[in-house]
Amino acid sequence: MSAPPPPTAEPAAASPPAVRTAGVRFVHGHGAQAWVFEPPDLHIAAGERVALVGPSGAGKSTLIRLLAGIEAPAAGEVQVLGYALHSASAATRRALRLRHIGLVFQRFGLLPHLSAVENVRLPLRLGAGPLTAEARARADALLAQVGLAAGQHRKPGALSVGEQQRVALCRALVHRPGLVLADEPTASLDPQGAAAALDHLWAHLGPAALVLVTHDPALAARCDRVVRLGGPA
Amino acid sequence: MTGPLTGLVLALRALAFAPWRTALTVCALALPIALPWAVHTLSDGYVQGLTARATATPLVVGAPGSQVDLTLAALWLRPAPLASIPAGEADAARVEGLGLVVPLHLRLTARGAPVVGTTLEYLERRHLTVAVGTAPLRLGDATLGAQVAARLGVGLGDPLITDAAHPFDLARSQPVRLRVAGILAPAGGPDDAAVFVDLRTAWAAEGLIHGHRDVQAGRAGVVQVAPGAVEALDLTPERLQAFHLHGDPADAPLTALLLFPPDARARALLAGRVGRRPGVRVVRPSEVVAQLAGLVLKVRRLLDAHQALVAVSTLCFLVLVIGLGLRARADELRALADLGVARRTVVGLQVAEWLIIAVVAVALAGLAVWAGAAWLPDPKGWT
Repeated sequence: MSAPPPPTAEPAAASPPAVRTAGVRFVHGHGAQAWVFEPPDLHIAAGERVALVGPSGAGKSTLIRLLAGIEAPAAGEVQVLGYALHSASAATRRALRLRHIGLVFQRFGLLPHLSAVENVRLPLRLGAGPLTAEARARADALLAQVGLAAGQHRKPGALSVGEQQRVALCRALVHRPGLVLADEPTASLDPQGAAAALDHLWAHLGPAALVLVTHDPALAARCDRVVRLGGPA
Repeated sequence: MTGPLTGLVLALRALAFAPWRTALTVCALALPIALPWAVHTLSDGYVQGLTARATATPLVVGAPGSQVDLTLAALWLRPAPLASIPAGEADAARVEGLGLVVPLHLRLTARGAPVVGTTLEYLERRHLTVAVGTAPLRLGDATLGAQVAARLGVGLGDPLITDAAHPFDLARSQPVRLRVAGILAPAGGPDDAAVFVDLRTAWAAEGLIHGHRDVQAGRAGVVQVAPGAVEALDLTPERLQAFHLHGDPADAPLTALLLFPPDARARALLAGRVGRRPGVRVVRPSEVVAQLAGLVLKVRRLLDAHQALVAVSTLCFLVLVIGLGLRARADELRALADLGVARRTVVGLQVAEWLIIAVVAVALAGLAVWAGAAWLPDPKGWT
């Protein structure tokens, strides 16, 4: 349980794009059961906000997992924040994910036995950065900015779905990532809640690029660009 | 990805999040650990205790019959329906000059405690010391073991009446009012639960040494006696002169003789010579206890087999619980991995949780065994 190794792949350029993929081919399963996914090439600039839309099964979540380095492509290039994930080791991809990428899951993925503020600080405790007083204050401030100052010591089970979603957003942003990947983060929320959540995300995203998977055209419309999978872009 | 301390904290927080589930799991694990542990600890202790007291008493002489009953009665002062041997056997054994001979009379009880008629040499040989008062020096004196004194709540000078063995038989012995002359220091054995009197007192309580008094009949000439109406005889100094023994003192009954030869040769000679006398048998307590211990170990082996099956069953349930737990927490564990925590770290966190549960369960089992051993009398002190 040692500290994560820093990414070893060197940035490809001095001012790299947030995401660049080329000729990616991902194979899931084996033999006749294999499913092959070949997403379109992407180029997402730093700070750009991109919506991924498409029917279920089009591969939106798979693409998010490829960009996060959770999955590795069978072929092609995946560069994130200048790091070549396609050739990086699993440990390097994990370290990059932990330190430089913010992830928001559809089902939030909060640890039920930790309080809201502990969940937000979790990436820092796990090695995303030093858990300094400044980092602690940043976690507290993020929760306060999304209206959860009073509920920061409550466990996820004692929070509403909307509040849990805001905690998940804060956790994705606490280590100041260069890229935020959000996989249908508002799927569990009503339209007002979804809009409010996106307001929070927009307000605290800063210079980070965003890749947002959504089925909601209204949310997609708030992004700089929409990439459609399984159909015309 | 995480330091050991962070991993430990996360594991502890996960366990504390579901305290009842954790407590139940710990107890379910502690019980199958504690049971065989306790059985082994206690049976080992008892076998050692039995063996130690048996070893400390090389030979026991008694009437022919069950050698187990004789050994249990003579060493652990347990009442048993044993035939008696004449007191003259003690003198005969002493004449051999091959070691200490301690007579025992074990046919009486006082408020449920065994009354042991013996000589002062018994107290010396068992390393029993008088905490307050004196040893039973006079007729009617009783010196109580620490446990029986505490149980009965009696002190120096208090009366202690022997139990009426045959309350409706006027021809048999009547209860005797003893005087508490002393209380022994705790010794951690069966002597703590006994009342010690001089042999003559035991015989008096059995009606062999006795005085006479008039029995007043009622108007109709009928004497009615109920158990509660049986009057205790007072063995007071004023009445001592009135007590006397009919017949030859060598014929007075004894339950057993404890023989303490100084060495193996003397023991062999004494066993041979005393054992040849008619109407007596010689028992080596160590051999009897070895048989009893063998029986205990056989029972323990059966228990071990049973507990092994219980352990396998528990293990199966444990695997099932771990599997279901992992399934129930799949989202949580996947989220950790997706955030960037190494798979081995995620597994390590789970292992840490189960290690903590296992350590606490073992500690709890150890505590239970220790408490059980502390609560029961220390068998090792039975020498």
